[in-house]
Amino acid sequence: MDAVIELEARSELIGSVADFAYKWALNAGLPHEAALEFTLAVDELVTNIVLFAFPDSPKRFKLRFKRNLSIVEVIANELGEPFDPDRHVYDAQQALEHGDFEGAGLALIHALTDEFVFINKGKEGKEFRLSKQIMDLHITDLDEELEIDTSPAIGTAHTTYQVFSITPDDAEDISRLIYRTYDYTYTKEELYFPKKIERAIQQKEKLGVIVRSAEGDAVGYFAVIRITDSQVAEVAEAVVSPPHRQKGIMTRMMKNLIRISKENGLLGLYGHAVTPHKISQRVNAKYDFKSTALMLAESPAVTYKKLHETYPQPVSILVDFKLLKPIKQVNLYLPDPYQKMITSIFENLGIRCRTLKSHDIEWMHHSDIQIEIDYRDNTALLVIREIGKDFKQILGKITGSLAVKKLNAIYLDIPLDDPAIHHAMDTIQAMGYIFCGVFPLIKHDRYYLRMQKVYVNLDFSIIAIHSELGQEIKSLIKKEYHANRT
Amino acid sequence: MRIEREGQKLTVRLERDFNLFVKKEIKARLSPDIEKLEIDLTRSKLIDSEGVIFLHHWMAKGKHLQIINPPAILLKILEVLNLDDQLDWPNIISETKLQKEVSS
Repeated sequence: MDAVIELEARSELIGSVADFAYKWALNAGLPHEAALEFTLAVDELVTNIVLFAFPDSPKRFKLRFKRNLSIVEVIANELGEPFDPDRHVYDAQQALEHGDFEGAGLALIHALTDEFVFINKGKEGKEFRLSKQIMDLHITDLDEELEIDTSPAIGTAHTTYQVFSITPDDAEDISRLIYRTYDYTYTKEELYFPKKIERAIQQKEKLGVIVRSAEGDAVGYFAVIRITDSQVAEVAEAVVSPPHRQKGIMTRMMKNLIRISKENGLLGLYGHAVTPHKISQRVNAKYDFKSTALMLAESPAVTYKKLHETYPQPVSILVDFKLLKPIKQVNLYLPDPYQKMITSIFENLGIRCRTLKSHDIEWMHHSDIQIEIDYRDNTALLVIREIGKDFKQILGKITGSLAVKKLNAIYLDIPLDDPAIHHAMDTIQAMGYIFCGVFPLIKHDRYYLRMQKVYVNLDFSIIAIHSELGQEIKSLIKKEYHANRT
Repeated sequence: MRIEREGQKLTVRLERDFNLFVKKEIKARLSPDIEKLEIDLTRSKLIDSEGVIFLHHWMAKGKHLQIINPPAILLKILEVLNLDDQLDWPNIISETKLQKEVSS
């Protein structure tokens, strides 16, 4: 689980933080040696904060420990003296000849982690993020004999299949099924690592079903992944073994998955469908998912097994949503430029959207913007928690800090229940953010408008959209994208 | 942390990691007439850059140093900081004490 520690910047506490970091990293799935390296990086980061952020009087700062199935990450936020890690480069010669070890701690952090990112948040202080990948055994390391399944369809209409809820014991069968079906082309890399699947099921982050043939072989798998801090999940992983396709397995799995999701109290399901083709979008539409957003350049270019060619640009994702519990009406502040589009998106979900008018706003002193970086997809998500008087400066600093990381895109979530959204929109658009869509209930049961800032060139003619509303969303985004580039 | 002094030698047995705080504690116990320093890291899982910097500065003064059973990550730190082949680490590091204690 994620954890937050708030502590005083005192050297006495470094050891305790390191002890916690080590145990936490082990529990997150890092093996002993990698956990030690991660711990040392955390120790070095905290030491730097103690020594340089608050050299005279120690103040409090926060450490957030986050992890998903593939990486562990620590995020330090502090309001100490200005400091730019890029200006403190370690020089071994200088160390040996003059005993000057400036930058040694930072050199170690770089060497012991996979990513080390510094973000200057202006008045809101500094943010340091360090992360390390969780390396587990790949399914082909566990079973060297494993082969891709190319056999033709088998069985008859009478072939019997049984659907079961997944348990940790199914992890290896799921990995095998993915590998035998997709070879190395499946986009969710963690599915090739049984340990990652096992942990996700144990920790109830993943709910799903597995279908077995009469002989007990795993022939289908479908799962949803819970989204942190929300009561919604993402339909993220689906596979049916080729010889068992066209036998209604996908339909049975989806029906069971929706039932399990409802039983577990989920309010809605997201379905992210790739846009080089419309296959998964059609599947989502069949199960009454509705389009709410189009995320440009969301994941790297890939080769599709069926298409036999590499898609020539980062893959954009059509976001679909299905409500599991009816919601009749929402009362939200809809920014003028997108009032019509947002209302259409809600209506398409069966939700009446009443527009609130913002009058005199009582501004918060400080803005609060949470940053999430997806290192694999080369994107970042900024989630606005509070829009304060310093919003323009803070968003500008964060966007500037992230721009130098050469990301494909930055996504920005703005809560639609914040009356200050009207005033923030001019700033957001002026910084080059364009429309993306609506994300219902994605964090803390709130509704968000998502904007996006795209750094790569995209050809919209090869972004294929199935749904009517999805095409309208695409048209609006395309218009803003090109207007921004001129 | 246990610190014992015997003539010009200071022996430190750590019960925790060797970090900035421990470095300050040891420095506070060092007087100018101490020539030999022995640090037992058998129970430490980590030494960090502050620990390594302290060791380097101590040796740079021409004083004697013995490190007992350092955590394996010390070698990684020395490698990253390009210090691994610059100092006489094999003679500074002793990894026999734990075995001796176990066998006795």
